[in-house]
Amino acid sequence: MSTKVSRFLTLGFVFSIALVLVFSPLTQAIGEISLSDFYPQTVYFGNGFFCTDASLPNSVNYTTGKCDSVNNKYWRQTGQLRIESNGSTTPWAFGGFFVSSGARPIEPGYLQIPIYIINGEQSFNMGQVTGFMANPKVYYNVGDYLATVDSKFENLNGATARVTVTVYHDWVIPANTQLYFCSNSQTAVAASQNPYAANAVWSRGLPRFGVIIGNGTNFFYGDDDSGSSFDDTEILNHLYTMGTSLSSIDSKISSMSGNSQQMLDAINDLNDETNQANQDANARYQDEKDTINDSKDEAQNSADSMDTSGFSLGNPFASWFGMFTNNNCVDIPKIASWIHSNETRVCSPWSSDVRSNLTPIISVIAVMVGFGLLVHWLKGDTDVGLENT
Amino acid sequence: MGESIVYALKMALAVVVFTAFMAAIITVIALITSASSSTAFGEVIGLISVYLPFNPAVVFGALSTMIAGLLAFLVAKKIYTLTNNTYQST
Repeated sequence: MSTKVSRFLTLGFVFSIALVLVFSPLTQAIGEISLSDFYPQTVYFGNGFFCTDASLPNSVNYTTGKCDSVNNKYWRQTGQLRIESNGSTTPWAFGGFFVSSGARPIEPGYLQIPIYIINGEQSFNMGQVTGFMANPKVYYNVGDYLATVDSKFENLNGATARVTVTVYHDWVIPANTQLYFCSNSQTAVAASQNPYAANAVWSRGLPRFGVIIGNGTNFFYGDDDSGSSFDDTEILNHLYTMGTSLSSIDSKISSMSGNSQQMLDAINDLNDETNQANQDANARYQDEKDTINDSKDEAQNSADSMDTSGFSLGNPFASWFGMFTNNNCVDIPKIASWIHSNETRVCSPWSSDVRSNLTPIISVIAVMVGFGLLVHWLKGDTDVGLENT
Repeated sequence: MGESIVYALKMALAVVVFTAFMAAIITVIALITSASSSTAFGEVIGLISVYLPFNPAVVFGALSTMIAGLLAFLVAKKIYTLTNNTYQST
């Protein structure tokens, strides 16, 4: 019988180990899978004006306004440029120049981005001039880096305009990205141009840029495709709108300043009360903590005395099986240090609902199986009168 | 009368042996538990606990109760057999 019992316990232990071995890697594998494994890397451009089409792939931030209603092109205050996992770029719109083609992602999910510092200028001859804004400014930021780009229009001969793009700051540009200007031309510009080839000439229609007014966060955009992007009336209307908003803010600030001292006094009183309440709470917390620690010490002393000299007929294996915790999380500092992991706390992959429902079922089954084996064993024992008849 | 005294002595001896046996088992189990609870083995037990789809403290507690009952039954049967044989031999 002792062999059967030990075999049963061994099987149970092996079953538990098998559960851990099966579910632990599975859970870990599921936890390590993220959406970034399936979507290409993205590079964000912000606070710049971009002309993109409405079907910008993977874009999430483009709500600025219309640029070219005929071709469904839109100005973007904040744009998003997608870099495909195979290294190619997806054009946003026709027109633009290619920054660099020196880098390719080495594999999906990981981008190897060499850094190019561009501090120069590039000119574009446009094929039509009917009106444009002088010296429009375009701001870009790439990741944590901010670059200022000036785009200057020069009317050459009444029929063409030259746009000079100058980067005034050292501009850290991830390779393999494209910056696009908005154009009302119906013809797409070649997707790739060498940024270091000065004075690249494109015979395209009039490009239209947004203009930065004030601190660069307020702007407006052209909303027609006639080739004349902005006029003075439009600019003045926007300025008037901004001025009205600022006046409203000023009046609100003025109305608040009269009550500032009263508000400060109230805040100070509130702070004093809060500090006092925190001190009282800390004192109560410390008292309760001391009381709990005293109780723990007494309980530990009692348990130690029972473990060493006590005797219990009820359940001598209680201390051993008491090592299994009923918590959902457990600290494993030693194992974490062995496997060089920063995760010193492991939580159960099972929800509390699952565990609470399965616990009584498995308890009953386990006890039934155990007593079943016991009865099966006793049926062959003639000493207790349970032998087969 | 003498047989009863001898029988009582046998019973007392059996109870003492049973008590010493159980105390030894409990002491050994308590020593193993206390020595392993603060080690990596205790952490392994904890890992097993959190990865099981049920509350092991309850399930294994029930199993331990069953095993304790089985052990008590074995000891009681042994005492019964011992005393019965002693009574029959006299």
